[in-house]
Amino acid sequence: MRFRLLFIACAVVMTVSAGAQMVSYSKPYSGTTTNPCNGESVVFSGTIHIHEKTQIATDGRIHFVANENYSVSGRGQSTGAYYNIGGNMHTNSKFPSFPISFRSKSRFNSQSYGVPGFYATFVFHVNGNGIQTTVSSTSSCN
Amino acid sequence: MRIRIALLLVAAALFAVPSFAQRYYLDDQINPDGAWADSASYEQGQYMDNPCTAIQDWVWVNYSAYAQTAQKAAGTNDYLVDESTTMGGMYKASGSSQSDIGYANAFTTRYYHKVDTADNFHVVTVITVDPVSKYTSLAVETACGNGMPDSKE
Repeated sequence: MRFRLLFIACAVVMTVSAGAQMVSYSKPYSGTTTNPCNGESVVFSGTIHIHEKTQIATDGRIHFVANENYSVSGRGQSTGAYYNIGGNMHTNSKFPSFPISFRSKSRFNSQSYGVPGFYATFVFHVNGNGIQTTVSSTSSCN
Repeated sequence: MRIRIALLLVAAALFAVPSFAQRYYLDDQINPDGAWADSASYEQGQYMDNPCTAIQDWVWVNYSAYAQTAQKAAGTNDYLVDESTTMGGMYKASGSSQSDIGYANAFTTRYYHKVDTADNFHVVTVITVDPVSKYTSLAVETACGNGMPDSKE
């Protein structure tokens, strides 16, 4: 009897631990944006490393823990200037089951003298199940 | 039978966390007027236990946090959360963080700050934002982990 109770207790602990879903992978990220500081089109490509854990908190909310690293380089279509950007989005958040987004803003540095850099905001979209679905980006001059 | 029970107890002990993380200040309201882009400071001395150690070692710390929540633009669901944490006394920690979150309902975001111990003891500033009621609250927890996806809470 005591053995069964202990077994059940251990099983419960293992079930709680197994309730978390964790992913860790890299995916390509590419596209075209506009440098709003000089108006030129910038074609970019790179990778985003996704590292996330999702579980249901004891209060029933989604507990979403993420640490995303991005590294992207691009080339201006008018000036020929090279640009690069790197950054991180980290969050440890709890929320009811509705879509949420987390943003990270970094500078797209220009590698060419006289060509201004600009800022890009990477937006990580997470659905109501705590699963990150898409990444989008916007640019601004400051 | 006794041997099996003993083996199970040993196995359970191996997986056990030395002591449970604590939550010290329960949802003390730091921004009662609910005005966005406002700020507030919070300070309190408290006995705190390192959850990474097997022994309960309650020591006195002076915890303080500065938190700010700001709606990025009127009519949007985009919010900036800014925090700065300092802890002095027997345990020391400090740091600051910022989040940029788009969400229409109440959410909680947690900021882990390493305490100056040799283990993985972190003090966690927990900020809850309710955009509907414009209510921001702050709580403090401890953890034996750094808040990353592969760490313990």
